Amino acid sequence: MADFLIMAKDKTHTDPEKDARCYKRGDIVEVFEHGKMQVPPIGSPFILVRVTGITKAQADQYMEEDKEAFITPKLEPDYIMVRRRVYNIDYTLLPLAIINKLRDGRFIEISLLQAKNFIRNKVTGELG
Amino acid sequence: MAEIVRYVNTASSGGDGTTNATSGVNAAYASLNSWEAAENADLVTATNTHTVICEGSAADGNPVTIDGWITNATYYITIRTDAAGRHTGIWSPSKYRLSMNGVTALTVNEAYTRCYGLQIEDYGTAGYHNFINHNLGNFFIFGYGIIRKTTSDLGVHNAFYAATSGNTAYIFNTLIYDMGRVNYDDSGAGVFQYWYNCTAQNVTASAGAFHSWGNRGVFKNCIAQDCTNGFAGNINTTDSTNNCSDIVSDAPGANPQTGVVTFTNKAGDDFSLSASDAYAKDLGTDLSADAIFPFSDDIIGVPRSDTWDIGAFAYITASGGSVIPIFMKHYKGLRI
Repeated sequence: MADFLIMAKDKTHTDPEKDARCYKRGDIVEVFEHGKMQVPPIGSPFILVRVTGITKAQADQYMEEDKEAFITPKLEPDYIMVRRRVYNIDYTLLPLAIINKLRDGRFIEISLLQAKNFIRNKVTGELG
Repeated sequence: MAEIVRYVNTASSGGDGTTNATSGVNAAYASLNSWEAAENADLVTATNTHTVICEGSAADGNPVTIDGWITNATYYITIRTDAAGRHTGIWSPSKYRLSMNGVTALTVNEAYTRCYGLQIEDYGTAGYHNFINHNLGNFFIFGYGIIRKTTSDLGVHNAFYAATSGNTAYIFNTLIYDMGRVNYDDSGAGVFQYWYNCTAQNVTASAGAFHSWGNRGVFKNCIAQDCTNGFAGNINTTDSTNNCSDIVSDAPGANPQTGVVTFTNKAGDDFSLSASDAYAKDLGTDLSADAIFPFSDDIIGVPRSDTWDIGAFAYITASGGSVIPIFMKHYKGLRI
């Protein structure tokens, strides 16, 4: 099992480029070992999704930044982050019952199989 | 104007960050990354400065990007350790540290970000990457830090990297060892880096440990030892001064020192100065009134009260004529 710390609201910026690099609702901010995190307090920008059937090491992939690689003028490899995360929990796909549970309790526990119905790769658009 | 203070504690189960407790609603954030995600804000409109204090004996293992804030010279971000979380000049596995497996630990895309007392390491074998990117982080300040690589692919890593023009960085009182390069800037123009009282040990890239393009790197009181090429590139030798290297004709600027610095315990990664040292002790220039970046202490916060030494560590001469290595007063409870 792994604890997914999820952004529950959009962060914004007046500069469109920087705004794109702000965390957005549903972004998987961080993955912790199962049981590490307590339920986020009221007012927190986070919710906690505990996912069964996956280890932290396996879940770490969901923290991948969306970044573009380039070669610098001095021929060094470099990259720039364009969005905080490749993966998010797509709120539009969450059943109403789960949305209500997250709103009221800021926590759910679901299986990996269930989670794959809501975790979207924002680059490819694919689920899972 | 208010100072917002938040806490990170790697032992915490995650709270609102308003205390350093490890559980409860007011618990510290569990990682620097989750602090950044939660607290990211417009400091200028709110007229706030923001300080995050990092603690915890477990490693903080997720990379952090500082981005999406609004800051200026008055309303800035400070990331620092306190006494509970700070090293004592030697890498400590029980103090706060960013510990990465082959990825950049800290990316600063926000101007006016200050980092004090951080330990940053990489234990991966993933090939080329930078430990700290401050590409967009103009007026970046980093001090009192220790940066190291613990696996053998040293040659392809930069401790600090900047690739965007219009970027000024001040790095002081910092120890970097077992690394490919200390720093590298890759811009066409505009990256100005001021390196004061830093120590580089076993930094192996042939392109140079301390590096500068376009006459924009200034080095004062810096040590390069056991490096393939200590100081390289187009360094501002007019403003650089009192540097030391064990390579002949390497230390840039005025008053260069050439020789093997005697550290307290090099094999044990204790790079404080030995009483017998002849190439760094009492050979620095006083930067307490420096026009660009004045400061007056060393890597562990000890005042540089007598003649300045080269490198991250001050060597303290006790009153009465006896000499006390700096670590003795910390490890044995002595106070000068």
